[in-house]
Amino acid sequence: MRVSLFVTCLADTCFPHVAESVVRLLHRLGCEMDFPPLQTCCGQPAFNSGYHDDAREVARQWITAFEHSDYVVTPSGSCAGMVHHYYEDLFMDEPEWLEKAKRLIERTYEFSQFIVQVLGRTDIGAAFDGKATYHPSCHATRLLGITEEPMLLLQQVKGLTLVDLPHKEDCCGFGGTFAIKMPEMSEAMVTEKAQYVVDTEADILIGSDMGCLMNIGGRLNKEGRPIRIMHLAELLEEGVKRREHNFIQQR
Amino acid sequence: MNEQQFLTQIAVRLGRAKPLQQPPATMFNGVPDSYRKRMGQLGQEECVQLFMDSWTALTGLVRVAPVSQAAEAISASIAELKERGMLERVVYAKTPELQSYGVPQVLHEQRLVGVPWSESASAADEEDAWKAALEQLGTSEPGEAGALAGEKWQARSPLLRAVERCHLGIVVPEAVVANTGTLAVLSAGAQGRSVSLMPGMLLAVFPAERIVARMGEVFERLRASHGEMASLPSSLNLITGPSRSADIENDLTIGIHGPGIVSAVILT
Amino acid sequence: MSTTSSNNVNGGIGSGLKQRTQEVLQNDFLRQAVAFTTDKLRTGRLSAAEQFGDWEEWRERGRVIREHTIAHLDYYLGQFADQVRSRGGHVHFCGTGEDAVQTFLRIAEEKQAKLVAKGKSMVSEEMHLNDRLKERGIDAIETDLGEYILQLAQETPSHLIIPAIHKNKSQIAELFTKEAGKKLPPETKELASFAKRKLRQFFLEAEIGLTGCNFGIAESGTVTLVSNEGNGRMVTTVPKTHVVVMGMERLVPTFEDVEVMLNLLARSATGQKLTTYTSFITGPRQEGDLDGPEELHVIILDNGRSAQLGDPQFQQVLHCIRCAACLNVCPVYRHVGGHTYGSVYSGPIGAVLTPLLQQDMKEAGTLAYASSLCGACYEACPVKIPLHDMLVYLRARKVKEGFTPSAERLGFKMFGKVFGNVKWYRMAGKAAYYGQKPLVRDGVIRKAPGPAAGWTKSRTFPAIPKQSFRDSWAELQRELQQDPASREAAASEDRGKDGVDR
Repeated sequence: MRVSLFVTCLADTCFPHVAESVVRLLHRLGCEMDFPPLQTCCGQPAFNSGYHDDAREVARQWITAFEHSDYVVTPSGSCAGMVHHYYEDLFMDEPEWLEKAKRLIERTYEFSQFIVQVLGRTDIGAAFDGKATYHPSCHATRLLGITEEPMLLLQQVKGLTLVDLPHKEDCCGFGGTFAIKMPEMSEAMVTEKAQYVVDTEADILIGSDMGCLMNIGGRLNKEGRPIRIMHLAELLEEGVKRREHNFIQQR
Repeated sequence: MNEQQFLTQIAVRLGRAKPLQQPPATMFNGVPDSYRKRMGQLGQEECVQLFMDSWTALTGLVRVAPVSQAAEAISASIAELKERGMLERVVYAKTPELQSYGVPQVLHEQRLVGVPWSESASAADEEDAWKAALEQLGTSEPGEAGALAGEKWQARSPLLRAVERCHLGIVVPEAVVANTGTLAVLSAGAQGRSVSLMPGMLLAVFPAERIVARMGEVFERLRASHGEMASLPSSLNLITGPSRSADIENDLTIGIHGPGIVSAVILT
Repeated sequence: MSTTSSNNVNGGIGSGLKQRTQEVLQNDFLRQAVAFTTDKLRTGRLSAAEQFGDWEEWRERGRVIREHTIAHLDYYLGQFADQVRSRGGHVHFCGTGEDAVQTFLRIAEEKQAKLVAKGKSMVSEEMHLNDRLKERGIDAIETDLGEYILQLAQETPSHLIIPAIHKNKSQIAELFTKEAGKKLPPETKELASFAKRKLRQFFLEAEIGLTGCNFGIAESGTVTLVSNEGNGRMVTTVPKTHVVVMGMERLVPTFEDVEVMLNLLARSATGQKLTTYTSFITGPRQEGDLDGPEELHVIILDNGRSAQLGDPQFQQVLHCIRCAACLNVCPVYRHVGGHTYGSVYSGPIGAVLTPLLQQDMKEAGTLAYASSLCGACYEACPVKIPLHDMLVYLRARKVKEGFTPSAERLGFKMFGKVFGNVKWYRMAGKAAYYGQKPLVRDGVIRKAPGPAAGWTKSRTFPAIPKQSFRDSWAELQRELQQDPASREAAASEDRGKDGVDR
C-alpha cells in the first residue's frame, strides 16, 4: 500500500520528530511511505481568516503535490478537516480543481483514522509505562467525526494508564489565528484546559494535533509543569520500540 | 411597509416574482417515525403509569379512583392540598363535567368558598347575591397586589378580581400527555384562562381515557373535535408541572406566577 | 444604525471588543457564574437528548422543518397573517425596528397605556423598545424574573434563556432591597417571593401585555409561547390588549411540526422534557370568554432578516429557534459571558446574527473573530445550523468588503504567495529558524515580538529546529530502505504469542 505523508507546515517546521514517528510506524505496519516534495500547507490559516483567494492559491499547491497519491495521511485532524470540509467549497467555481479535490478528499485520512479504518488495526504492539490523558482536538472530532479511533489505539498500549480529561470536549483555545488575534480569550481557554490536564495528575498529555499540543504545552511550560507532550504517533512509535526492546531482551 | 410589499420582498429573495399562493408540498409529517411508533405501542395502562411517573417527577400530586368515587377522591386531594398551604377560596370551571364529579358539593362539605367561573349565577333569582359575593371577594379583601394596582384593577370584572383572591383552581383538561406529564387545558367560556393560572394551587380532574402517550396525539384529538385548528378556543395551555424559575443563580424555585402546587385526580 | 445595544456596553461592537474582553476576564465571579450555569445546562441537554433517544433523527427532522418553512416563508407568513385576522387579531408588517416601535406606540396611544407588562422578548430588545416607551412616559416592566433583575440593574440580557446568568444572589438582594424599601436577604426563595408579589401588581395594572413568539403556527394563526415561570401566561391573560412582537422567521407550518420543535427547544435549552407552560394563543378572547385580551396585535418584524434569504451561506441562520444551546457549549462564551459581545444576541449565534441583521461588517463583523472555530455550536444546535462555517464566511465577507487591517491583508497575500510555492516556503522556513535565534532560551521562546506577543504573554513557543522534516526526509528514507517492512512480521509474531489482537 502506497501512502503519502502530508506532514503539515507546523510539523514540518516545528515538530519534525512527530512526522518521523508517523513514517516509521506506518512503514512498520507495512505501508510504502513517500513524501511528495511539492507540499507546503493546506491553506487553513488564510481560509479561516477569511482570505479565501490566498487560501485557494495554497490549496492548489497542496492538490498538485498529492495529485498522484493513493492515500494521504497526516498527523493532524485539523488539516485533514480543512481538506475534507472546505476544499469543495473553495473550488466550487473551478470544476477542474474541484474534480481533483474530490478525488483527494476520499483518499485523505487523519493518522489514527487511517490505522483503524483503513489498516483495520487497533493493537499495533506498543508498550508504554505511564499515566496519560488524551485531549481530542475539535476538528478531528467535529469535522471528521473521529471519536473512538485514538482511544481504541491507546487502550491497546500495554502499561499505559489512561485518565479521562475533564471537559475534554472544550476547545483548548488554539484556533490557529484565533490565538494571535484574540489572545485574551485564547489565554483564558488554555489556562482552564491546562488546569484540567494538571488535575488528572497525568505524566503525559497526548493529542492528535500539534496546534493544540503546542498551545496547551506552551501553557504548561510557562507554568513550569513537568508534563510531557506527545502526539499519538510519537507515543505509539516509541511504544512499539519499547515493546520490541523488551521482547528481544526476554529472548 | 404594507403586507404585500413585505411578502413580495421575501418572495423575490427566494427567487419568486410574487408570493406563493399554493401550499408547498412537504416531505415530512411531525415527529420521527421511530418515536411515533415507540409511543404508539403504549397501552392505556402503560400511559396512565407513565403519566404518573412523569407528573410526580415534577413534584405533582396524583390520585387514581373509579369514576363512581370521583367526589371522594377530589375531596381527599383537596384535603391533601390544605396541608400544603392556605386554602379557603376555590375557583373551578363551571362545566357540566366538574359538576357531575360533585365538585360544588365537595367544596361545600370542606367549608371552602367555591367560585364557579361564571359572571352570572345559575338561577336568575340568585343573580344579585352572586354579584355581591364576587364583589366582596374581589374588593373587600383586596390582596397586596390588587391594592397596589389601585383603581385600574378595581375597574376590572368582579370575577377576575375574585379569582385573583382564590387559592386553588380546578380544571378539566382536554387531554393529558403521558411522556412529559402534561395537562392540555383549553380555556374558553366556562373554563377561563385564569382558573389554571392565578391561584397558587391547581387541581386537574380527568378520566383515564384522556391520557395519550405524546403531545401530537393531543393535536390529533383536537383536530377530530374541532375540525381545523383555526377554530380552536383562543387559549390552549400545555401545563407541565408547577410554575418554576431558575433565574437566580440557577437555583430552582417553585411557584412563581402560576400554581406552585399541582395535583391530579385520574378517574378510571 | 446604532452600534451598541445598551448603556452597559463599552465601545462599539467591534472596536470595544478587546477592551470588554480584558475587563470581563478580571471578573472572576462572573466567569464562575457563567461556567457553573452553562455546565449545568450542558449536562441537562445531553441527558435529555440521550434519554429521548434517536436525537440525531430529531435534529434532522427539526432542520428539515425549519428549512422547508424558511424556503416557503412568503406562503406561510401570508397564511399565518390571514388566520390571525380570521380570528379577529390584527397583523402589522414592519420592515425595520423603528417601524415596529412606531406601530407599537400607535397601539399604546390608542389604548392610553401607561404600563406595559412584558414577557420575555428578544425582538423587543432588538427594537430597544423599553427606552423608546420611556421617552413617551410609558413604563415597560419586564416580568421574566431574570429580565426584571436586569431592568432594575439597568442592564441588558447576557444569555438568551438565563438573562441574568452573570448576577449573584447578593447583587440581586441589593437590587431588590432598593426596590422593596426594606432589607431582603440573599436567599433565592425570599428574593423570588418578593419579585412574585411585586410583579403581580404590574400584571393587574398593565393596559398592555407584550410578548415575543416562540413559534407562529401558520395553519391556524396561533402564537406559541413557552415560559417556566408563568409570566407569559399572565401577560396574555390579564391585560386587555396583547401585543406580540415576532421576527418574521419564527413560523412553522402545522401543529405536528410544533411538536417537534417544542421537544427540541425544551431539551436543548434547559434539559427539561417540556417547558412548564406552552401557550397556544389563537386570536383574542372569543365570544363567551370571560378573560383574556380583548384585542390581539401581531407585529411581524424583518429588521435585516429578509436580506439573508436566498443567500446560500447565511439563509440557514433564520432556522434558529433561540434555545441558547450554542451559548452553553461555546468555550468563548464560557469565559467572557454575553455582554462582552456588545450586542443584543451573544454567543455563537449572536456573533453570526448581529453582523447579518445589522448588515455591518465593519463593526459588528468583528464578532466573527470571537470564536476558535471549534464547532461545538454546530454540534449542539438542535436544527443543525453550521455556525462554525458561517463564522468563516463572515470573516471572508469582512475581507471582501475591505474592513480588515492592511498589515493583515498584506500578511495573507504573502502567505498565499510563499506557501503557494515550495521554494519560497523552504526559504521562509530557514528565515524563521535564523530569525528566532536571538529569542530562544532552553529550546523555547518566552517573549515574542509583534503579533505573537499575545501568545507568549501566557505561553511559550517551541523553538524551530534546524532541520525541518523535509530536510531529514532523504536520511529517513535510507533508514527505511535498510529496514524493510519485515519488522512487521516480528511484531505480529509477538502479538500472536500474547493472544491479543486479531
